[in-house]
Amino acid sequence: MNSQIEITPLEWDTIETYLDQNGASDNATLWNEKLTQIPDVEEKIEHIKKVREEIEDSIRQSKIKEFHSHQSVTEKSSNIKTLPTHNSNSKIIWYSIAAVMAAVLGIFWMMQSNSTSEQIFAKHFKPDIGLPLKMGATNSADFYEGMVDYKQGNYENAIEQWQVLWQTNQENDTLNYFLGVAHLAQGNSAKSLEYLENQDRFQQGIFKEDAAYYAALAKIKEEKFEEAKKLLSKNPSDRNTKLLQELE
Amino acid sequence: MEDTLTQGKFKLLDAFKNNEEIPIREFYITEYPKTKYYILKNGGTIFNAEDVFQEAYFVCWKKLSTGSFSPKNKAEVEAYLFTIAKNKWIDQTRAVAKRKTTSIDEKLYQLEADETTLNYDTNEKEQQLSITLTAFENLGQACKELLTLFYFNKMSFRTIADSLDMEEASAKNKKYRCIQKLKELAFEKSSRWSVVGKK
Repeated sequence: MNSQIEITPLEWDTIETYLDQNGASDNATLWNEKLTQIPDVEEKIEHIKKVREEIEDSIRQSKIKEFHSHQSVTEKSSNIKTLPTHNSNSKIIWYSIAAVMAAVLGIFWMMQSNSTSEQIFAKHFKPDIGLPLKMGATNSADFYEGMVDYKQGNYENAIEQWQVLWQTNQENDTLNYFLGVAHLAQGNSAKSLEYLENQDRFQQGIFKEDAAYYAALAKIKEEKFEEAKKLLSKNPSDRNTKLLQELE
Repeated sequence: MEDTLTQGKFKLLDAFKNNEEIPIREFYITEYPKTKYYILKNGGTIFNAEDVFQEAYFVCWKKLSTGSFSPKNKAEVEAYLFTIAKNKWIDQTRAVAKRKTTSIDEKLYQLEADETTLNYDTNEKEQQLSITLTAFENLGQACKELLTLFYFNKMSFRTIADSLDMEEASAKNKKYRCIQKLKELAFEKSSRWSVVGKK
């Protein structure tokens, strides 16, 4: 999505109306005339077509993610429904279930606070999508080798490759950010915080809010809710504010 | 008998063409287990299954809505969706195997270099889409709703304005501002890669 091209609201509206008519309207000639008044109209039409396609695609992908959450709920509820059919009419089995439930409740009571943090973490943690894969200077090439692994979910390999680069670039915000996220994707919050906790590294760059978000998630995983809140409120963004509201 | 042909069309195809959320979601829920079991049986994890199926579902939806795939009945859609998912999983496992080989054999690594660069280029479009998707998800709720009503539900500005209780001109202006915001967010995200090694 190229944000550099300048299109006024009126031009945008005229072009979209023309695109929606698809040349079939009686007013097509009128719209064609209006279009000729717009400078660089061909380029602008192509741009708007591309933006519309990307928006539609994003909405589709967003809907698909929603469908999956429905799918998970359906799957869980169907699993629950199957239980009674396997355990009918047997006192012994019911006693066993009661005993197991008592044990589970006990464990649940002990782990309640832990499960809350895990639940929040699981709900909000999604690894950063990573950077576009482009080859550049030698250092960058090494970095993007790691990025290929990262994007495939091979976090261990990614960490291994980036760790080598990190030895000589310990303050590089990009490396610290992705090393932190990769460790968190592996469930290692302590290791993740080694890279993400020092927020000074990110203050001047574009990872500022995102680094705070993942550092806060690592803190949540470690049940350090107050520290997570502090990070989020110091680095506001839509996503950070949403997470902060959930913690409050 | 829901797939009985009616004037060369069938309900599911219409649903995909018109972005009818409920039937599309139900189809997703029905079809996912088949791909899940296939991937779990073939060395994948539940996360792989989720990713692969979602990618395949997106491709299938787009092909159906743009008319570049014209199935005759629901069975053809099911087969098509499963084939895309299966091929994606095979490609992924092959890519991992190939990468392991190239890292061992230096000579082969040199030969494969051009091909790898090509793969990066073909991934560019997918990458751009992820960027726009992330930007869309970070857009405020009001903007997301407005853009969805217009671009996904294909509602007219008159209807959108009525449902949001505003003037038609205000709805148009708001939509324009939302698009500009989306473009800015996407641009910020896509310019990230150039900062590597800046320090």
